[in-house]
Amino acid sequence: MSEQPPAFQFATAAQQDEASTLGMWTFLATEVLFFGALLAGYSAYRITHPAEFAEAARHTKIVLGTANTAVLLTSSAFIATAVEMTNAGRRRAAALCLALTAALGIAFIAIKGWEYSLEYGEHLVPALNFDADRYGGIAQLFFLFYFFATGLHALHLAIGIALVGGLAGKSVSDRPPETITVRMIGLYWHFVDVVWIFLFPLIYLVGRNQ
Amino acid sequence: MSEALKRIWLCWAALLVLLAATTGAAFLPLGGFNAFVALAIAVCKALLVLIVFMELRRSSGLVRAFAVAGFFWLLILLTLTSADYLTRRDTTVPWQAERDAHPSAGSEAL
Repeated sequence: MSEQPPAFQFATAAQQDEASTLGMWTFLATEVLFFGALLAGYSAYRITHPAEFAEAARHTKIVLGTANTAVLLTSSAFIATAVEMTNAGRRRAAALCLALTAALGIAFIAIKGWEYSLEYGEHLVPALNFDADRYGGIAQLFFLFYFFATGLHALHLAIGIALVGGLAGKSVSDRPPETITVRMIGLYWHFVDVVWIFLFPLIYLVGRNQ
Repeated sequence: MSEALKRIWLCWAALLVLLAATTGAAFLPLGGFNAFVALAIAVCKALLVLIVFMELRRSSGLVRAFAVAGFFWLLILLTLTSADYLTRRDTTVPWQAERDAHPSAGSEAL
């Protein structure tokens, strides 16, 4: 709950916190549909070309993808811990958890960048150097989806890293953030995690059973 | 460790177990069932994050309704799109060669 008195339009701090939470969830609902349109396009092409999609997906780096999923899930646990620490007034512990969250986010993007460079080396990047003679036109569609989806996800994560990094610095300053602020940025961070939870099987786990 | 922290890190452990399960299951020869298993585990992981990490567990009904709304509309989007693509059939006219009737079968469609 807020330590400061609520803004004049709210009767109680609890009401103010719920308004913030509703606002964040409204934003996240638009984000669900933003990524959802991409998933619908993916589904349509995968239904039409299942064999080609399975073949193309086998070129993705499953070890790096799985490691990145673990990194992101761990970062989510740390920011959830940071919310509890902020709520308990343990500012140093909160700052440490927030810094670890941001560091894991940076690690995710670094691994993703490594993956992109491997794919560039294998001529798998559409519009830059995709080898359609070798992989086929449908594989190019798959990788177009792959780069769009993971790129948009990485952009969301980069915004999250900036927000969480800022909070980490603020936590040890004279004016530490209120719990609700950490909680709302946490909601955004977890949402980016949820997006990845669905991208992971659609990108990396397709066509591995052959 | 407090009750809340215990819950968070238990959830984290469950998420990693599910991650190992989904990656392992992807290599089992289950045919079309693989996609179902992968999606079912993804839904379980997402629910864990939504309920424990995103605190829908202790949110008000109004907040839960807002959270469900986005996913509900996503479900409509995906269902109606799939209903079209899953039920499309190419129709052959007698003078068409078999290959021409399935332009989507070729990998040079682009």
